[in-house]
Amino acid sequence: MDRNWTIKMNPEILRSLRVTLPPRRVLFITISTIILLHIAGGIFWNDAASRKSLTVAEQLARAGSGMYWLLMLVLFALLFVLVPATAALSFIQEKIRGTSIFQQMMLLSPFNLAVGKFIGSGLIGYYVAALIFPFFVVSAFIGEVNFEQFVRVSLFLLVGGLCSQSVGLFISSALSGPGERFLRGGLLVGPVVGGLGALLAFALYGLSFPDNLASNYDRWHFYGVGLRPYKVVLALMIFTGVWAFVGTVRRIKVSQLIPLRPWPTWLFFASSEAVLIGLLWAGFSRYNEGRLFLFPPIARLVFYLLLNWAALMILAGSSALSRGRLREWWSAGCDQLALLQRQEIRDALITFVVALGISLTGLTALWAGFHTYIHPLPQHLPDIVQLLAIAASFTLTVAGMVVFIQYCAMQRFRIGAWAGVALTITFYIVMGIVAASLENKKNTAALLNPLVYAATITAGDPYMDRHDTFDETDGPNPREAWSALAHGLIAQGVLAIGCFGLAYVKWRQTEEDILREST
Amino acid sequence: MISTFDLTKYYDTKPAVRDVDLYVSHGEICGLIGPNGAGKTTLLKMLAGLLRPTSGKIEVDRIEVGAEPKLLHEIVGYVPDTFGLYDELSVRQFLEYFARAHGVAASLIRKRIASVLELTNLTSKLEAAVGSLSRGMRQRLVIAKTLLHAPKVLLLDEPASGLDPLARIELRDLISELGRLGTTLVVSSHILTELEDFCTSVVIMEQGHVIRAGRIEELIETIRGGLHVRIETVDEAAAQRLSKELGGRADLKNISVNQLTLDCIFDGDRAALARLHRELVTTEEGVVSFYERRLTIEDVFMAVGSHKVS
Repeated sequence: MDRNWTIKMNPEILRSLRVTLPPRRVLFITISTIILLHIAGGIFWNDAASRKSLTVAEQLARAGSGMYWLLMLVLFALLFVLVPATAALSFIQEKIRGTSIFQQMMLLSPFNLAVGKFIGSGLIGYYVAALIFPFFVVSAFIGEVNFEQFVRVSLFLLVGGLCSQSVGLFISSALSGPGERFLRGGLLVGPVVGGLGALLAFALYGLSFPDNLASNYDRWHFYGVGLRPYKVVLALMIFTGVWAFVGTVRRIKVSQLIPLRPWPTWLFFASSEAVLIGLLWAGFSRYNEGRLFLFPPIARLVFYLLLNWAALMILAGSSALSRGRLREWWSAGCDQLALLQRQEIRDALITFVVALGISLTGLTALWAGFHTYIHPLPQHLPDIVQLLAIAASFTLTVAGMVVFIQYCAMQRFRIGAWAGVALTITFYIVMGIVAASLENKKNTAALLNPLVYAATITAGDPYMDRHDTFDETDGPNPREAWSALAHGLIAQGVLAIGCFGLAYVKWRQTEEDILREST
Repeated sequence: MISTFDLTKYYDTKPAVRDVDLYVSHGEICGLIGPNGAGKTTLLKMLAGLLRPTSGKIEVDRIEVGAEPKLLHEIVGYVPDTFGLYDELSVRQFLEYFARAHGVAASLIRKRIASVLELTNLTSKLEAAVGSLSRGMRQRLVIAKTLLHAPKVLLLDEPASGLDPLARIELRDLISELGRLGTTLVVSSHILTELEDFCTSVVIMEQGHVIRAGRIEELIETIRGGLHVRIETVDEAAAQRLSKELGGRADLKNISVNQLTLDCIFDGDRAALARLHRELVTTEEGVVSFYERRLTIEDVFMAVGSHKVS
């Protein structure tokens, strides 16, 4: 390979190029792909030509159309399955092969390393796709495929492929960090990610290109603005891909022990919330848009709270202070390392508070979006009371959950804080079963769950629950509503206080243990 | 060049390295000795900026490790005990990749590759596939790769493990050569006698602690306590008889018998030792040889360590 043009190339891309696409392999792939394409084309033409009732033009169109669909399927398999699967293996392979330690020490910037891995991991897939694409264009032209449809599918393939690859790369970097415990069976990650890519392609394709012609005129709403579903799907894929790439760069930094700044995480939360609220926004919904009633505001709000709860749970699981981190915190040093460690711990805590703040801000914004009618409607509970109660319930639940996860992180569990996450999920599942088995549906077990609580106190509310009727007698009476509101908050408050108590006792005990061990 | 202060590393609740204070001066070749689990690899990884200490401080060439990992990696090279290579690449491509990844200027790459290959005696393998190299060559290739960015400090973790005798001799020569060129080296090894050939100082670790550190001669001096004598006999019975006979002497202590040999410490000067020699030769206890044994780092290790594995 000529070294003059390679001298300025990203070394990681060049290495991947040399390893995955040496000249002989390129020749083999090229020849075999072209032969296979010709064979497939021949088969389709043979099939079309055998239909004597069709004119030659119709036969050509039929063969072209068949080839178009086949190549589309192949391109989907390449870009949504093969490329993300190989990307998902890139860092893991380095770890298994024993070369990751060299990457930890190299002076190539994490961004350049991530770019190198990104491009390098998709080389074979993109090369084959590039070989196929001209045939795809020609078959679309011969098959008389609608031009707009063709452009949309091509864009979908490109953006979706890059997004899946970026996510695959992020998963790979996340699973090949300094802790090696996830690496048992690490090579399975590739096929798993590939399989998920296939499912994603299937689901998103169904949303973006529905079979039903009427559904083609569907509009999704983003802050009330009507958009074609495929545009929303494309935008979401770009959003996911970009953040997955940022996540990869940060994971590389973690492996190289480069201190991380917290603001990208805040920005991620803020931008994700902005997108989520935009999609759930109903401020501009009109009564004649019947489909909106399938998802009343409370369902959207519960969905919003569920996603936020899950995100905060993951954040708590990943940033809870293990005994190791607490040992760093309590080490009496005032040197740069100790200051850095303390700053990281502080950043983790601040990030959690910021994320909760963003969550509550989003909740308020979404709430405002559901209450935009000019003329006030009769309600069982005032707006502001409902909002404050839901916000307080969510905050109490999240606070209790965080300290419980921290409590578990201080135990000697093998999976650390994630045991707390698992136990929290189990607790709410058990509470859900208990609640469902009781006759009175507004029982304590049910109201402990902030999602059920939000649904309960807004039941029958004309803004949140019943768009089609303003009948005051339809919902619960105000006394019942106030009673459920107080009942739920007290139950959640007691649970949170219990978690705080547990965590406090364990915290003191851990501090004593660690200080004793250190001396 | 390298200093650590109260360096401690816990893996969860298990201490791997505890309160290590270490000083390695510029151009020194420091051997790191200890049983498995002593904390040698953990210590080396912390020095290389690959592992963050739980507490304490490390300075390498006045750079505080932890705060500026990239700056540290510019001056430190680390050769791990186990590693993999990109077997599909040729030696030239492999070294080019790392040279560029370490920011070596494009105009210098060829020259730098030629010089590290010459130093590691791999020049003839320039176009060979990495996968075709022997274990010893791979070890030297990794050292060559590590030297590409001319690190001031080189950390080698068990570099001789798995090498055949010839490859070990080549490695020893290479390490000595690097020391002569002014590189500060820290080398961990189980093979104590090998370290003695090229190390100027040693650090003995056990259960995460440094139990002795210093120049080899100084450490040997601390355990000397007299002249170490080894007597070889014709058979085991003779060794046992001689041991009983010598046991009554006031100028001999720490008598130990190991099959045909008898080791002891003689408390007296060399003239007195010569008299003892004469006495033993004239007795009919079957003495085959008698000599003052030169103390090695192995003796220091055996004398100061409890030989427990953490």
